[in-house]
Amino acid sequence: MSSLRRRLTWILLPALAGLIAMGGSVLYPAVRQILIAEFDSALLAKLRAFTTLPEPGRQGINLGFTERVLAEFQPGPNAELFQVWLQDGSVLARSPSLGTQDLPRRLGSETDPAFWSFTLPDGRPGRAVGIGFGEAPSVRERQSIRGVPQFSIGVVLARDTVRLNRTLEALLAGLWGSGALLVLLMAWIIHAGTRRGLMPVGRLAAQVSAIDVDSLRTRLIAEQYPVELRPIVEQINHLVSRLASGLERERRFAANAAHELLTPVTELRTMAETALQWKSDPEATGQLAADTLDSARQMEHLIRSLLALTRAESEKAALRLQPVLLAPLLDELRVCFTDRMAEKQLRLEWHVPHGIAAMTDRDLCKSILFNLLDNAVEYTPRGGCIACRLTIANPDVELSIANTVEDFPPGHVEMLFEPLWRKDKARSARMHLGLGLSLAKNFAAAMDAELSARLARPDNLELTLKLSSAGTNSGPSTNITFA
Amino acid sequence: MRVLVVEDSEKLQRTLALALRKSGYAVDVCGDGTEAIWMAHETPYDVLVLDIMLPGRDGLTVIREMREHRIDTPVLMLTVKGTVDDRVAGLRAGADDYLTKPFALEELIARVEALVRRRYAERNPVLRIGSIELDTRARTATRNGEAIPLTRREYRLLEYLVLRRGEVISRSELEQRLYSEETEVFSNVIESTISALRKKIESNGEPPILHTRRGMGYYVIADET
Repeated sequence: MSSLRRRLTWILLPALAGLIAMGGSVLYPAVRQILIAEFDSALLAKLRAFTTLPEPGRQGINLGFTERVLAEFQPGPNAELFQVWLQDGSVLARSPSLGTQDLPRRLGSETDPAFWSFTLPDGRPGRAVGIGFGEAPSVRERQSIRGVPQFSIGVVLARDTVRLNRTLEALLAGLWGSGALLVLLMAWIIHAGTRRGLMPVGRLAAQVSAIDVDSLRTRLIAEQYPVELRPIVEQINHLVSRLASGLERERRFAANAAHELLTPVTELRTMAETALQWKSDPEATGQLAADTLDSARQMEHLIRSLLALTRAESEKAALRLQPVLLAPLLDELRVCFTDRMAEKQLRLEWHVPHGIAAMTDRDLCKSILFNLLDNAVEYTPRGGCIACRLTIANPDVELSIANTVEDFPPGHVEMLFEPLWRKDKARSARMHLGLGLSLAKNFAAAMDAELSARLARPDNLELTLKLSSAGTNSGPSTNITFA
Repeated sequence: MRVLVVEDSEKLQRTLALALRKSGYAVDVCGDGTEAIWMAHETPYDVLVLDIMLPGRDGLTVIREMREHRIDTPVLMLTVKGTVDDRVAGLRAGADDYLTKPFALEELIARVEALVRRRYAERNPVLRIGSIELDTRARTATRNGEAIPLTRREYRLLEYLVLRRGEVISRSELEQRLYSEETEVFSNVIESTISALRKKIESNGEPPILHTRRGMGYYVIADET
């Protein structure tokens, strides 16, 4: 179920319907009980009045039932019934409405009359009350009491419950009807209530859907939303921020890639046009041919680097993780840069203890270290310093390469690893494409290593490669300072 | 005409310099914004071909600083950024024209020519002085429809003098305008070129157009009596 409103409706509505049904199921028996009690009470009152009429006479019991009294017991559609028994079970009297038929002889005491429901002899549903009253003395005692014979009789009075049943049926129908109506009403209230309650969600959806590529700087104001939605609003704001910075990176990458490609394309086009226009000049065409070849090689280098980056990002090239001693690797690489460092009069601080091994892929690690050293040598200003430190920070091995920088704003640190980003927008150093650090970062990630950068000081940029340690063997430390 | 090409790509720098030299311009090159400002300050270039993305100072800064120093050399801006905003930013900074990379070489040369003409308030690509016509597009000189066989150096000298007609141009200014830094200028090169040019453009029966003002320089005028 995808709609929150529908889900809330389907949870709340059955619960409320259940509550209504429960209320009905308590209410109906209670009311029924009350109505039956009232019916019984009226029946008993009539029976009690009835019991005051019989009197002992000289020839037995004088019931004292007059025509007026018997009016309700005449045969008819609403006729009431009675039957009187003597203690011995002989029938003393029957109501005319009963004819020759009998009522069930079920007698209670005067204090605890017997009530029961049954079908009247004429087929109507009915209810009866039975009482045995008067003493049941022996014949001798009956003769002796004030000279008047005593008697003991039982009377059952019955009345149809057609009206009572109708009332109960009407009550039941009313309860069902009002219950159903309540359920419908509640359904509407829940529907409307949830719609109103969820209006901020709709507003949020509208505001979020209004955010497009051009409005990624827009932020939702969390305070304008209910407390329950604020964490979502804040997360959306964070998401939009991440999206904006991601898009900004993509834009920079696209712009940088365009620049990287357009420059050699411009070179190629201009060189080709110049060669065509002055093709008779062998000196010019010779130089142009050499330059054209160089531009083609640069483009090839760029494309190969981009492909390597894509592979590093997507495939995670097959790794061969093994313990690699870092000092010999670094020493081997250091030699490659000796001439360039001397040419730029760079000072090198080399604190590389022997015997420290990292669990890494030798080739990838070498490629990363080459990139770090190459960048340091390329971008350290003349007369600057490069410091290489290898330390153990259990369970890792940390290699930091720090170099002097000039005019390097702190904001540039996070862009260092962006593909094709270069601080020098002019891109004069054509073999430095701005892909080296991106590749190094991706290679490091592929080995579960971490490459990070920070400005240790405003004029000192430090790149740190954190690798898993593969143990140490105590060995001589190489602490060299080349001036 | 002397042009400064400021471009950080050495190959493009070399190629543009070659093409412009072949088109008759004296060309200097540099690949750095700071150096470009210094060169523009030191030498009266007729046109600057300026890349926007440069090491040192970017092209827009170069233009702004040039204009602040009242250097009014026309600037043809080269940019890989082809958006309207980028072009507007360049033109507002003081550039006179722009080309988006990659460009057609022919168009670049045509725009440089147009900037040169605009600098000397000349709209027509065909310059006339007396009976002589100079076609700045074809870089040819004719008299009454007949071609005058001028060397590249002679043509450049004549074109510059015609563009500045009536003004006395000193020998050192002519050297600056017509020769790049790379060219070693012999002390009598201007005199010998003037002499050769005079022989080619002056004809019997017509008043001379190329004159020398002793100790001051040279000038052309159509009808001096």
